[in-house]
Amino acid sequence: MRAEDEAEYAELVAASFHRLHRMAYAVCGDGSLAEDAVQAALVSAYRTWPRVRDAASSEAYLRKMVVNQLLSWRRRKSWRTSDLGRQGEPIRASHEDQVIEHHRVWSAVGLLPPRQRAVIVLRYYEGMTEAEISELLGVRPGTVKSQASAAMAHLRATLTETEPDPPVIVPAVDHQKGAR
Amino acid sequence: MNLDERVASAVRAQTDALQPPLPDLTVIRASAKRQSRRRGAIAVGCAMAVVLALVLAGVDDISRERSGGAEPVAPPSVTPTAPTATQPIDTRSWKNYTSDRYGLEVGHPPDWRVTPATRGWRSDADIANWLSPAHEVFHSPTGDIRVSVWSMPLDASKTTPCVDPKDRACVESIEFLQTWVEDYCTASKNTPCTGIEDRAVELCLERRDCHPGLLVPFEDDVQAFFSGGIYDGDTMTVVAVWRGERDRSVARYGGAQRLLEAFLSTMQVWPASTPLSERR
Repeated sequence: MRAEDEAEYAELVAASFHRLHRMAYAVCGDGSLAEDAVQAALVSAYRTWPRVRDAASSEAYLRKMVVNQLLSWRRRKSWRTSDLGRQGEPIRASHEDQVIEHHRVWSAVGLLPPRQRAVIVLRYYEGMTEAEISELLGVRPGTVKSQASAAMAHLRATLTETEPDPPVIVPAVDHQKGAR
Repeated sequence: MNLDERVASAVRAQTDALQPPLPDLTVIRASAKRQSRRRGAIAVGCAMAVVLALVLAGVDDISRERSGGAEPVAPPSVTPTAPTATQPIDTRSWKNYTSDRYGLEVGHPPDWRVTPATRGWRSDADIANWLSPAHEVFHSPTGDIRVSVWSMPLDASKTTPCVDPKDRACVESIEFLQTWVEDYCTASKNTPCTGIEDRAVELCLERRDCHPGLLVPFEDDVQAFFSGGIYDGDTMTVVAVWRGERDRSVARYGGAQRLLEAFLSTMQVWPASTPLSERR
C-alpha cells in the first residue's frame, strides 16, 4: 500500500473504529466477538483497500463488512442471546428505574434471532432507512420490513411478559387518628 | 416513549460506555499480509494437487499398459485422458436420464449404469445414508464411482436462518446455503462441517438468472446443493460424487469435483466463475 493510502486507511480506522465496535456490540451482545468482527473487517479492508477507498462511503462499506462478518459467524461462534446485560457488561449509571428499564429492553433485544437483531440495531440505533439496511444485508426491502416488524412484535411480547408487577399500594395508617 | 425509542435508548445505554483501545495497525497489516500469503499458498496448493492428480493418472495408465492388461479393470469410459484444470469434461455424448420422482433431468456418461430411486427421500431414513434407495444413482462401468441425485425438503436440516422459509430472497442467498449445508452436514454425519464458506465453490443455477448454489468438498465425497429456478423452490436438490477429491478412482476425470461439475452442467448448473459463453 502506498504511503498516502496507509495514511488514509489509518485515518478511517481512527475515525470509525469506536462507532463500528459499538454497532457490532449492539448486534451481537459480546464485546470480544464485536472486537473480532471489527478487526476482521479492518484486515479485509486493508487487503482490498482500493475498493473500500473508492466506495461512496468507506465507513458504510466497513459497517457492511462487520455486520456480514457477524452474521456469518453466528453459527460457529457463541452469540449471546439471552444473557445480554449480565454482570460485566457496561451499564451506564443512571436512575435505578431507568437502568432496570434499559436492562429489560436490552435483554429482550438479546432474545431476538441474529438477523432480526441486526435489523433492529441498524434501524433504531444506527438510524438507517429500510433501503439502506436492505442494501447492507443484501436482502429485499420487504424482507427488512417484515423482519423489523417481527422483531418489534417479539420485543413487545417479551417486554409484556417481563413487565414488573405494579407496586402494591398499602393504605397509609393515620397515626394521628389511631392515637385518638 | 415508543418501543423503538426505548430500544434505541437501551442500546445506547449499553454501548456508550464502551471504549476499547484502537486496534494496532501493525497487527492489522501483518494479518492482512498473512491472509494474502495464505490465499496465494492455497491457490498454488490447488494447482499442485491438480498437477499431481494428472501425473498419478498418467502413471496409473502406464502401469496398466505394462502389465499387459492383467488387471481386470475396464478402461475409463468418458475421456481417455483426464481433463486439465481449465478444461471441463465434454458431456456432449452423455445420455439423459429423467427422474419423474424428483422432477429433474440429469446427464450421465453413456456407459454408466443407472439405478433409479425406489422411493421418495425421507429425513429419518435417508439423511445419513449415502446408499439410500431414495437416490437416483449412476455407477461407473467399473463400479468404483457412485454419483447420486435427489431432492429433500428445505427444512430437512430442522433449522433455517430465514424468518420466513418462503422468502426466496433469503432462501436464495449464499449465506442461507452455507448455514443450511452446515446443518445438513452435521445431520448427515459428514465431515468436516466447519470452514464450509472457505472451501465451497459458488454455483449458478440457470445460464443467465444464476440462482445460487454451493459445491462443497467433504472428506470422502463432494456434493452440490441448489434450489429454486427451474427446480422446486421448496426442496433442496443434491448431487453427490461419493469419492473424495483425491481418490484414485476419480483421478481419470480430473478429480471428484470436476466429475461433479460435469454432471451439474447437464442440469444447467455451473460454477459461478464459468463464463456465460461456456454455459451450455
